[in-house]
Order: sequence, then structure tokens, then C-alpha cells
Amino acid sequence: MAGFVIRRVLGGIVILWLISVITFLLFFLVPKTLGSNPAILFAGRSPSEAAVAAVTKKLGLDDPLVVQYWNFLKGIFVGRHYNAGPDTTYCPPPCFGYSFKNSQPVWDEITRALPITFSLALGAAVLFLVSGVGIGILSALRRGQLIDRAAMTLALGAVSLPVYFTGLVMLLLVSYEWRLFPNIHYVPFLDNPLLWARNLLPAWIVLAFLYSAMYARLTRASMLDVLGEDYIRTARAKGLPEHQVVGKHALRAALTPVVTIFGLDLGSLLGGAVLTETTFGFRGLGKTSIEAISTGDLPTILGVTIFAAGFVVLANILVDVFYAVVDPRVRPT
Amino acid sequence: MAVPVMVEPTERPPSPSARPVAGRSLWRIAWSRLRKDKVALASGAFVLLVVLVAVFAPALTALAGTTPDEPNYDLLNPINAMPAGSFGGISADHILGVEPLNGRDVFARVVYGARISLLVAALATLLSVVLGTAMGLISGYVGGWIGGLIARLMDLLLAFPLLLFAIAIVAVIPDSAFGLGGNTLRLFILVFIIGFFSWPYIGRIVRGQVLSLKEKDFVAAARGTGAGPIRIMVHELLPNLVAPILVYTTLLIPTNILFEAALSYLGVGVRPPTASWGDMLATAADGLFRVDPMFMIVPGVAIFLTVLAFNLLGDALRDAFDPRGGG
Amino acid sequence: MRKHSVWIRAGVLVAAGGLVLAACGGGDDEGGGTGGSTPGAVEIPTTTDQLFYPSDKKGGTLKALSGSDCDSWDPARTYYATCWDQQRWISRSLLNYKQAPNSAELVPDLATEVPTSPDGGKTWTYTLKDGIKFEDGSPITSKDIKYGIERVFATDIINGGPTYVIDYLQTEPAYEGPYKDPSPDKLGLTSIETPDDKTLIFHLNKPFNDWNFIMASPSATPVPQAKDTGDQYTAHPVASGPYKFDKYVPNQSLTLVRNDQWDPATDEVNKALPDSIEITMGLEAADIDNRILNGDADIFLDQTGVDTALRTQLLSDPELRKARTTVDLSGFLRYMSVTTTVKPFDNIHCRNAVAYAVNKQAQVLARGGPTAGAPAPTMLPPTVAYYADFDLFPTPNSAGDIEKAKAELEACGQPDGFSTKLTARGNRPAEVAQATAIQSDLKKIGINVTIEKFDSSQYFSAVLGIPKNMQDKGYGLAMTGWGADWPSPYGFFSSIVDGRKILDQGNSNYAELNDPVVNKGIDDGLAATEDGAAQTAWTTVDKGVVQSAAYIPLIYDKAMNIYSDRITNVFFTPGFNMVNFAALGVVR
Repeated sequence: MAGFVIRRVLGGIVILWLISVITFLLFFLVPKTLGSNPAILFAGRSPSEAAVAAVTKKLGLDDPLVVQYWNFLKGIFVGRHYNAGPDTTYCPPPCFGYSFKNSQPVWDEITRALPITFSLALGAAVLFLVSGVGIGILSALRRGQLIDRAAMTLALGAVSLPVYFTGLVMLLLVSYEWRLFPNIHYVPFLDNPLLWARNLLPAWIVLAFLYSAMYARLTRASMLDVLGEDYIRTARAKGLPEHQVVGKHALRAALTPVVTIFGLDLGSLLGGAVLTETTFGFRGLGKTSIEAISTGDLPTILGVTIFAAGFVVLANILVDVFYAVVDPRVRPT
Repeated sequence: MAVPVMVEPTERPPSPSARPVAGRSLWRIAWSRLRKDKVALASGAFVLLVVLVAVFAPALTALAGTTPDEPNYDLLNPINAMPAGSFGGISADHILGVEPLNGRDVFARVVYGARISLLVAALATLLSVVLGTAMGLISGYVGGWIGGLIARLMDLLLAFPLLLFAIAIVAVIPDSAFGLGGNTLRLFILVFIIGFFSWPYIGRIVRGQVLSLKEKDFVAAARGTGAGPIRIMVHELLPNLVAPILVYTTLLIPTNILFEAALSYLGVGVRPPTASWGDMLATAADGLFRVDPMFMIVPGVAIFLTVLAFNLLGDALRDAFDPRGGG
Repeated sequence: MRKHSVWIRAGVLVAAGGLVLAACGGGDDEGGGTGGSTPGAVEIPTTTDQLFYPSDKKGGTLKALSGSDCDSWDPARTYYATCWDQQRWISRSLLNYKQAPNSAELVPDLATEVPTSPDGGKTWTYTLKDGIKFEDGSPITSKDIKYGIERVFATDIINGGPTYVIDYLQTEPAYEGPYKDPSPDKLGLTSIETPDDKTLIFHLNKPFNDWNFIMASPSATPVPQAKDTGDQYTAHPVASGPYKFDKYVPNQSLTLVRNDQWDPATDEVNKALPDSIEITMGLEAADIDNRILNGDADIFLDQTGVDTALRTQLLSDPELRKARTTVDLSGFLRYMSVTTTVKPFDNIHCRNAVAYAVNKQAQVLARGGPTAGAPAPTMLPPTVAYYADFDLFPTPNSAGDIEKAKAELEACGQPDGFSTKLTARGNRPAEVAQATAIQSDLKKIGINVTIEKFDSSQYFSAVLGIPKNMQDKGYGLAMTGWGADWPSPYGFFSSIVDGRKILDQGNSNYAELNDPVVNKGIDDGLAATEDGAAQTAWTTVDKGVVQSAAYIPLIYDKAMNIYSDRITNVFFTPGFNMVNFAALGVVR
């Protein structure tokens, strides 16, 4: 088991490393190949050639790519020294460099955005896990009945709706028309927990609407699979009461894939719910990275992307370990 | 990592739990099941309708007497540039109203938007099906280090923050590159990005099927007659994979429609004045929807209905081929 | 990007200038309505020249909102108009703009008086006041101001801001900023003399009569060498003004509190009424509008106007409009550049065809209607001194003239039209809407336009600013806009139309217009000492530019802004092209 975990963690690290290489190449090599110099973006509106050259040197953009990448990696693990002008500043690990845009540490920007993304993801996760799994189980047990068909039709409808459309409709109704949630913006939990929840609730509902539909479908399918298994039939045949069959035997097996997917979804949500954050104007990791892309702020893009990928990879590892604990057969992968 | 992850906006394609389906008679059984499924028939008809609308968009708009790009400034309230009249300026001439700021006909733009949506989704799906099938076959049948490598590559792609990455790639590629320009390049990029990030879903399903199929007798028999791996893959395995591939292709199309709409919504879709649903929503989201909700509702409902129809059809197909599956 | 500016000189005041607080009498009750039921005529509040809600009452907290954090809080690195305006809370420069409605008059700030040059613009001498101190209590000396200006020369570290001081103070050999300065006191820039702690003597490398305007910009802010943190200075610029940094979370919030070392006796400019200022950043337009409307905040610092929904609401609510809003011409011109080096626009008739075909009313609608702008026949906005009203491409209702356009196409030898590319900033929805409108205007005369979108971060520096790039890619048309860095016609025209300032990189004359009449007009205007000659010269320039059809003026930009119901001392300052933040108070 320990060996499996170590292999998985190592594999995750390799994937993360590959993502960092690819992201780095994408943003540093592609513009270079296409003949644009990122330094131009940060030398002012109408920079002279001398100014562009000076900025290129200062940002280290004239170093070989390998050196640039190595410096980037070094920054994350042991920190980096930067030429700030009068003297050098030390950027302690984990150092993702300084934003091209406002010279502030990218790490600060990530830690600013993180609570927002966390609040959005975790709140939504609680909602959709409870409602999705609940509906799924109910549907499976009432297979073919009205409630099942209604729930599944609704679920299929929900997964066919883009979150930004439901988000806009939600905003229009609850925020602007009915004024139940006026002035939606992020308020830190510690500042005012009530306002925090109130302002996030519409976004939670929008995300949960989509995800609970997927979870209802998934739970139902998984439940039906399990209920068809021989050992469940045996249990029933032995005359065990239905709630025991379902509660003790079926549920445990049926929820394994649900938990698996949940881990992965949470990982990707923590990496930034780009569309939801954009629609509701929450400047979490997703919206921050979109803004960084549109301003060409390479260190911020790199930092946020790798950070987001980190969550996904971490979630994958945890899910695999969880799976291996529950079901030893999968370990050989 | 046995389960695909998908970006937030899109439905996750179904998990590859479907069992291998084989045998010609299955097609007949499936067809007879489908014929009895009213929802399947209705959604199939709607899909067909959307396709027809997209193909005959020019004729359709000509019939309605509108064009997608022609501004109608006289239909705007000169004070705030919003459509004059109620419900987004709906009238006999403009049955779904006109756009704010320029008065273009919303009906014509939605109809033309269907072309972009379907074209991109269909081509991207084709790309991912071809790639996914080939990779899945190789990975599953050949196995060894090549198979392992491909499997890991699929893991890698699935671990990417997809939407972010897609936007990033589109953003770094200028408006003219690779000798292409204009919308040709945009469409090419959209198809490539969506297709490239989607193939692992098909790849995993195919791989899973192949892994179980290759232990079957008919494969062993073929191997016994001295057939090479390529021949076995193409002539023995592939025919048995058509049904699941068809099912998951139908389910991948709506995912890809949503993917394209999401990219357009985030501003990296086709360029103006070409109409696209996601782009219309993005324009509406920029404050306009509060004054003119119709402008948001129309493209939103267009996406919803189209995606829903494909999802219903896909579900029905899956049920038809594998009645044990979901619902 | 470039800050906007207008200039109203005493006596040359132009009718449409200035601030407004909604002074429209009757007849404007019929609003736009939601969705707009009656496309009737609503009188749009026009700008007037007044001080709104005057008060000297101190106290309270000014709550300000913005869409995004400043490009930098380092006075040498900021270039947003709103941030220059905000700098006045924390920093003082040698000169400043007089705090009076619509005044572009310069008054002394750290200096004792506004100097004149004894030698036609090459030498400028400033004397500092007594009793001026930084927030840490150390006195502000001439060397601190020199050091602050020297920092601009360190273009690898201190970038993003304007570089006029380099243009006029650069020496031979080139000075590379204090961080590479071999002299021990780091004050090696020989073109600035500091004979004592109170005196600064500037020796310009070429005459420049607008120099005082540069010394009223944040470039002339003192920076204490001991507290200079280079590219990290934005995290805490040392205050010389009435407020100082208290708590700053980049991209999120900034709190300013009173600077107890600031002596009001030394400052005839700043009133410093509020006890503190809270800036909340990174907000959505709808959120900003709502907060100000509900009284949770006082002002929107970007001053780019309210969102469509609130605009519509305000247009149907004359009371609210009258009490809480302003509509200003911003002194910003939106125009289209027609690249004279891209075929077939090397032929003036093809450019004329475009100039006639463009529907300027559609441009106004694309930006949200008459409260967002007015059709522009001239380059100089009406708010700038020496503006003259003329229309060299008259079309019915400014809506374009297809017949004349086609005739010009014929004359150009392209009767069937041609294809070209139009560039625009993709992340500016209104600009894309403008570009789309132009695309459909030109389609009517057979010119097929492809729109190419770029992010605003690279639009000027990496796309429009490199002539070779424009030519290679065949960018015949480009959407752009301009407001001068300081309020004079020279400040407006010199960078964007002077044929002698076409640069290989960092070019601002995007169309590469090189017209001897225009070039000479700029020289004459700068040298003119009396109004008549100046008027003639600047009108010659303006007409020459419009006549060339290398630049097609589209819209005089306007912004309809909303304020809280407790804000005081609201007035327009041409130097910043918006309301003067330093004068604002919150106690009526």
C-alpha cells in the first residue's frame, strides 16, 4: 500500500512538472516564436527600443529558456533574488515570481484569490453532494416511477444548461429584479459570515444545480448497478429488511464511484470555477487567471495555472488512494 | 485515475462503465428499442431540425427577410441604444427582437449561430473520435510501454485545467498565423483545441473495451490465422467498437457545443460580425441583459435546447445498446 | 491608458465644456424606460461650468470604488488618468492644477511660484517652499525631487509611466537612472542642478514651452532616496501630500489616513476634507453602480460612467439625475486611424471614401447613446483650447454618405471596393461594437473589412506602435482613442500626428501621417505667444489632419457618472479630465 501511494505521488509530481513545462513553453516560447516580446507589454504605452531592451534584460527574457525555467523552478522551492533597483529583494519560497503588471508577488495574488475560490467551491460542494446523492438514491429506489422520471428529466435539463446562462438568469432575478441579493460581491468569511454566505449563495446554487444533476445521474446509475449485483440479491433473498440491504450493503458500494468523482470535481473546482467566477464577478483563481491572460501577465498565468493543476493532481492522487483502500483490485494500475 | 474529469461548464461524458457490446443483431435490437422510445425520436427530430436550420440558414433568414449582420439603427431607442419596443424589440419583421447597440436581427443571428456551434462541435468531435479510437486501440491492444505511455498521456490531459488552458492557447495565437487568417484560423483553432482536449474520453472507453475484447476467442482465432496487429485492430476489434463509439460520440457533441460556447463566452471564439451563441451571451452579460433580458434568453435557450436534444438522444442510444446502463 | 486631458483657458471657454450636474430644466421627463418604449427625444443633461455642493466641512470617510487597482502607486510608473488624480491625495509635485471648476491654470504646489523661462523654454528654475515634509517628518529638499525625476530614467526598473522627462533632460552620454549611477550621491543627472536644498534648475536639451505642465504631473513628485524600494515602491510610496498609506492589499483595497507631517499652511491646493479614504478595487460595474446609488459608497474613481442599466434608470428619473449625476465631455477623442502606408490607403481618395462612409451616429449608439459621446467632426474636442468647429466631410445627420463615398472610391480607382483589416481591442466590448458598426458601414460601399482583435495590454505597444508590423500585416484601419497628457493642444497633437515623430517602435502616429502643413502648424502653435496666432496654427493643424483622412474623428467621449448624496466639492479639472478627487469631501 505504501508503495502504491508513493508511486502515485511520484506520478502526480511528474504530471505537475510536465504541466509546468508545457505552460512555460506555451507562454514563453510561443510568443517568442511568433515574434512578439513580452517585455514590450511592460515598458509603457509607447516604449522606445532602449526601454524594451532594458526591460527584456531585467525580466531575464533574454536568457535561454532552460535558464528561465530553472530560475522559475528554483523560486518555487528555494526562493529567488530579484533586482528591484536600489538593491535586490528576496522572494521567499514558494516564489512564483513577481507580476509583470504591478510588481507584486504572484504568491500574494494567489493567496488573495484562494479564499474566494475555496468559499465558492466548498459551499457549492456541500450543496450538490447532499442534493445530488439524495436525489440519485431516491431515483434508483423508485426506478421507473414518476419521481424518478421527473428527477432524471430535470437532471438532464440541468446538465444541458451552461452555468453562465443560469448564472445570468439567477443574477437578473434574485439580484436585480427581486433584490433579494443586491450588490453581489465577495465578503471575507471572517469579516461577516452572514454576508459572506448571502453573497455566495446564488453562485453556490447555480453551481450546485449543474453538479447535483450530474451527481443524481451518477448515483442513480451506480446504485442500479449495485442493486443488480448478486450479493444484493442474495441479501434480499435471505430476507434482510430493505433498509438494511440498501443502507448497509448497496450504499457503500454505490457511493464509491461517486466519492471518486467528487474528489476530482472538487479538485478542478478549487483550481478555479472560471465561468461562474466570471459571471458573478468573484475574483478567485479562475477569474484572476483570465484577467492575467488578457493582460499578458506571464508570471501570474504560470503561477495560477500550476496552482490550479496542483489541486487537480492532488485530487487525483487522493482519489486513487481512496479507491485503493476501498477496492484493492485497482491497485495494479 | 479511472474517471474522466471535465471542466466546470460542461457535462462530464459518461464514465466508461459500459460493457462491451458485440454482435450484429445488437443493431437490430437497438433500432427496435429506439423506435419505441418517443423521447428518443423527438430529440432525434429536434437534432435533425437544428442541423437543417444550420445548413439552410441563408435560405431561412432570406425567407424571414433578415440578415445576421445588417444593423438597424432606427429600431433602437436613440437615448440609450437599447431596442425600441418591449421584449427586446420583437416585431413581425424581427420575431426574436433586435440586438442592443446596433439593432441586428436576433433571429438571424441565432440561426447563423447554430452553424458555428454545430460545425465546431461536429468537427471537434470527429477529431477526438478519430484520435481517441486510434489511441485507445493502440493503448489497449498493443499494451506494453506504448500502451502505458498513451494511458498516462490521457491522464495528463485530463489533469489539465482545460478551460484555462484552451483560452490561454487561443490567446497566444495571433489573428493570423500558419498562413491562415480570419475566421478560418479561429475555427481551425477552436476545432483543434476542443478536439484535442476531448479525445481521452473516447480513448479511455475504447481502451477499456479493447482490453476485454482482446481476451475473446475471435481475436485469438484471428491471431491464430497469422493476422498482424493492425489487421486485428481494424478488422476484428473496430467493428465491435462501433456501437459504443457511436453512443459516446453522440454524448460528446453536446459537451463540445458547451465547450465552444464557453470559449466564445470568454471572448476567444469566432470574430465579429460572425454570430455565435456564446458570444451573444457574453455581449449580453456585459450589463445589457439587465435592460434587455431577451437578448440573453434567446441564445441561452438555443444552447439549452440543442444540448438537451443531443443529450436525450445520446442517452436513448446508450439505453438501446445497453439497457443496463443509466437512465 | 494615456490620461485624458482638456484645456479651458480663461477667456477661451467653450460652450460645451466642463462639469455638469445635470442641469437640465424641464422637458426631459420622458425617459428611456426599460427597454425603451418611446424613442422620443429626451434632453440629455449638458455640461456646465460649476462647483457642485461646495463645503469646507472636514471629517468622515470618503468611500471610493474602482474597477481595478491602479497600474502603479509609484508616482513615476502610473499612467492612468484616474491614478494621476488619486496620486494627489498622497503626493505633491512642483506645480499643480488650480482647484476651481474647469480651470487648467497651473499654481505652485511644492514650489513657491510658477516660473517662466528666461531663454525661450530651455531653462526652468523652481524654488521650494519652507516647512514641506515627508510622512516620516524628514524635510523635502530639491534633491528628493531630482531623485524622483532621475528614477524615470531607470527604464528597466521604473517603467510604465510617461517618459517626457527623458525626452527633454537626457544627456550625452545617456543617463541610465540612479540605480546605475556611479556618483556616490546617486544624483548624477547633470541637466538638473540643485545648488541648494531649495532650488532646482532644469536645463532642457531643446526648448519646450509646455514644461510647467510636466512639472505638474506625478513625474515631478519627490522620492526620498533612503526609502526608495525600486520596483517595490508601489507597495508604499512615501507621502508628501495630505494622506498616507495605511493598509494596502493590491487588487483589493487601500486605506489612506491623514499624514500628520503635512502642513496645510504650505498647501494652497489640497483641502483634505475627509479624515480618511477607503478605496475598494476590482468590482463589477453593476456592483459599483448599486453601492453608490444606495449610499454605500461615494464615487466611482474610474469615472468612465454608469452601466447600461443605471443609465437607463437615470434617463427616466430627472430628479435623481439632477441631484446625483454629472455628464462630462471627457476631452477624450475616439478616432480611427487609416494607415497611409497600407494599400490602397496610400491614395487619399480611398481614405476619403472611408471618411464619408462612416456613420458617426452608429458609433455613438455602439458606445451606449448620447450620454456616452457625441459625433466628432474635428480632432480637437470642444473642451480643448483653440477648438474650432468645422466639418470637412459633412454627411446628413453625421450618418455617412454612401454616394459621396462611392464617388471617392471611383476616384481612387477602386470602384468595386477592396478588402482590408481593422484592428480593435477585443477586451473592450464597446470598441468591438464600434468596429463592427464600421465594418457594416464600409460593406455598403464594397469595402470588406476583417476585424482583428487584440488585448489592450499589447494593442498600442506591440501592434499599432510598430509601423512595420502594420504594413506587414496589412492593418489598414485601426480603432483608437486619445486624450492628451497635459491640457494643451500641443499635448493633444504632438505625439499623434507629427510626421517627424514616426518611430520604428513606440510609434503613436499610427497612420504614419507626414504632412508638412500639419508639421509646421504644430511648430507655429507651440511657438505662438498670442491667442490669434495660436488659434490659426492649431486650426490649421486640426483641418490638415482631418483633410488628410488619415485620421477619422468619430466621437467626443462623454461619461455619465453618479455620486453619493453626501459628497461635496464636485467639479471638473481639465488637467485630469475628470472630477478633482483631492477636493472632495463627505460632510454637507
